[in-house]
Amino acid sequence: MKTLFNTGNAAITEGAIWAGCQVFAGYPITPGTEIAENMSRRLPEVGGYYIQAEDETASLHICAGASLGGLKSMTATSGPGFVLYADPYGWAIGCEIPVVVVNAQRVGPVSGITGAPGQGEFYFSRYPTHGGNFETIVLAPNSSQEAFNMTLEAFRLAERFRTPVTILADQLVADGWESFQLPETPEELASLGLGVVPRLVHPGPDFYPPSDAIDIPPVVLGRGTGAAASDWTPTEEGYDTEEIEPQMWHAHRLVHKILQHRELIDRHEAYFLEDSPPLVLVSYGSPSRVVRSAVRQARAEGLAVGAIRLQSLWPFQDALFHPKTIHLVVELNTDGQLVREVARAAKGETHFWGRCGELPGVSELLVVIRDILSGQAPRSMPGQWEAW
Amino acid sequence: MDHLAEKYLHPRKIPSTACSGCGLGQVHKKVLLAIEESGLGLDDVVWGTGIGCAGRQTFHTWRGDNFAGTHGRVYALATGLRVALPPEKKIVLTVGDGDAFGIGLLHLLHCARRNLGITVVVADNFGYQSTGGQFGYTTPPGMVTDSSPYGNREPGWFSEGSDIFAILKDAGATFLARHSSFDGEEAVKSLVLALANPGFSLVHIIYPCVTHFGAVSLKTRDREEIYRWFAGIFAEGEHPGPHFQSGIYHDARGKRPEFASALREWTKEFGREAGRA
Amino acid sequence: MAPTYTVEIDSEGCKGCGYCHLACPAGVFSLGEKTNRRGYRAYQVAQPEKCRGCRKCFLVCPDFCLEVKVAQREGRAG
Repeated sequence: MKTLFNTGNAAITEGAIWAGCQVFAGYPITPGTEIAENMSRRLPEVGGYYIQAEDETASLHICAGASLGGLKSMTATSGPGFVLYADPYGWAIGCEIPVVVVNAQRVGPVSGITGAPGQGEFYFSRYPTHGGNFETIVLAPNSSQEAFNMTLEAFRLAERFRTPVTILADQLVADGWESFQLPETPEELASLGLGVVPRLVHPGPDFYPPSDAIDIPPVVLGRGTGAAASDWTPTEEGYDTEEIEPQMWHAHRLVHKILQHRELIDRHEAYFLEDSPPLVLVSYGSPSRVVRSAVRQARAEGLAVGAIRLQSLWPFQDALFHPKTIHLVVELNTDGQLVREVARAAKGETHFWGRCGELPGVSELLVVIRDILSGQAPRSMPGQWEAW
Repeated sequence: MDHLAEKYLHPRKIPSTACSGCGLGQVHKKVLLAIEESGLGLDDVVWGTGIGCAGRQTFHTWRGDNFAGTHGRVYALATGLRVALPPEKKIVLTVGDGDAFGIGLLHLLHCARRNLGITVVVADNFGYQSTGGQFGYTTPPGMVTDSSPYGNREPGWFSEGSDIFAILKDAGATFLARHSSFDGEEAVKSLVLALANPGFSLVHIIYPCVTHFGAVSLKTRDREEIYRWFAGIFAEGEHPGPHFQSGIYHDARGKRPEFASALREWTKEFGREAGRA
Repeated sequence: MAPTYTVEIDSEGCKGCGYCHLACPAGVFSLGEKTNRRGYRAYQVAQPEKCRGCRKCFLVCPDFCLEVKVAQREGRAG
């Protein structure tokens, strides 16, 4: 096991190399560019291919095409590029082709601020394309180590579920330098709970069975299976159809192949929940580290508060949230996105602390925690907070 | 069904759902004849389709491996696929004029720039016909369409003597040919050369759309009038409508390295050198 | 004796577009009487003996429903 000191972007690169990624196609965009740069240096060392595309839409299409040809692939960007993934993301969902997509969120809207963190694509990562009739798998690292781990996990889930998987990081995770453990053998990899699933080949020629089963190999072209990848709604044999019944089966497969196997996806960390505290802070990504410090300090002052840190965002883990608990959601945006899901799932008193481009301070959160626990009306904050 | 369909196509898709008098099947047939003449079989060709009449009517007809791409992006999908597939596997893309010269032109040009080893067959029916007949960027000037009810005033890729092929040639394409869908063996011959080209080939085949372009723009559904009009636009001398020259426009086969093969060779060489270092 | 050819039209696959008739220099085809299952009046091979095997009909048929075959070869081999 080696210890490296590097950015989240570098950790993601090493994770992809470990996972057997053979094609990276990308387009320069802060703060995701370093993944492309690292890939352009590292992939040739392992016999892989770096392709710089004309835009992000082409980038994810190129990755999807490479995956369709049997090569594991990944692309990486930030918010403004992630929006251009919508078309090929839908293609990969509908054709059930694995690919890993990294989004290092920055401040929006639109060009916004490149070198500061945001969390504006929480909902967009659930609905990265049009049309409905699908679920998505989204993981959210908050450190270089998790950036490495979750990249491997993303490749594993993409292969097993025949679907794109998004790693929703933010600029601080992407650019932040930290030490992380880099396994050197499969055993060391397994010691981190990680593993690599090889790319198998769908026998074809029929399309996928109308069931929510996973671990069915994706279609791979060029192997003489006569298989088809159809972005039209397909019949079982893969023909395009205008019939509703095959469409229902296709939609059922895309939704339930994920919902029926959540145990492979759902993941979260809990702090100080053993005594069921009345107030629980909820967050993901880099702000979750400040939340942990704030909760630890609050507990030191005897305050009954805990925290939930989401590691997998979608499918959303409703079961973690209870009506009797007050939830304070901390996010790097001012419109509030995670808070809406928590409020929906918890159906209890929910508060929101949001600011984009800058982490909250521990002291700032302590003020809010004390106000809520003492039943006072929360004071107005720059990031504004109210009962949601 | 004829021998070509029996040899290469899914019977269920033949005859296609294209309108009577639609010339797309002529384009489809010429590509299959070229494949047959090149001695290629079901395992030798991966067939990609775009969105629109050309894509829809050819999708999953090929009994070998095939895929449908998003509108204007099948070229980017093919780029990734090209890198993954061995060079001897041919990639054939049947697309329409909207897919290639409208929404997909950016990606098409970058494929030409890279000299990507694909054969793009642009079946051009002079507009967006599968969506009801809007003008496209090859629609002749003045033509009435569903979205140019007062006559098409947009400068297109063939207006004022210009030709999209000039752009594709400068972008780096290494084989360009144009035909009418009514052309016989010469169209097949060009397609055979296109398939043999290790790099980027594009064959532009203009074909009749009776239901929209015929009925609305040419104001006729009569097959003979349409047949004559399409023959006319490729003929010498004075006649109404645009002028096109059928045949090979540019042939630089083998003169530029093919993108994926060059990338593969460089990567292998890089690995050997790294191994020695 | 020049070789003779057989021309066949799969009437169920034909959409009655008429391009075979328009392309044929020898007037082999004519519009048939029957309407096929898809509601198209298919073309038919009216005068097969006139066929000279130029295959123009085959090359312009959009619906893979026409075949031109060499019937039999008399006299000189090949």
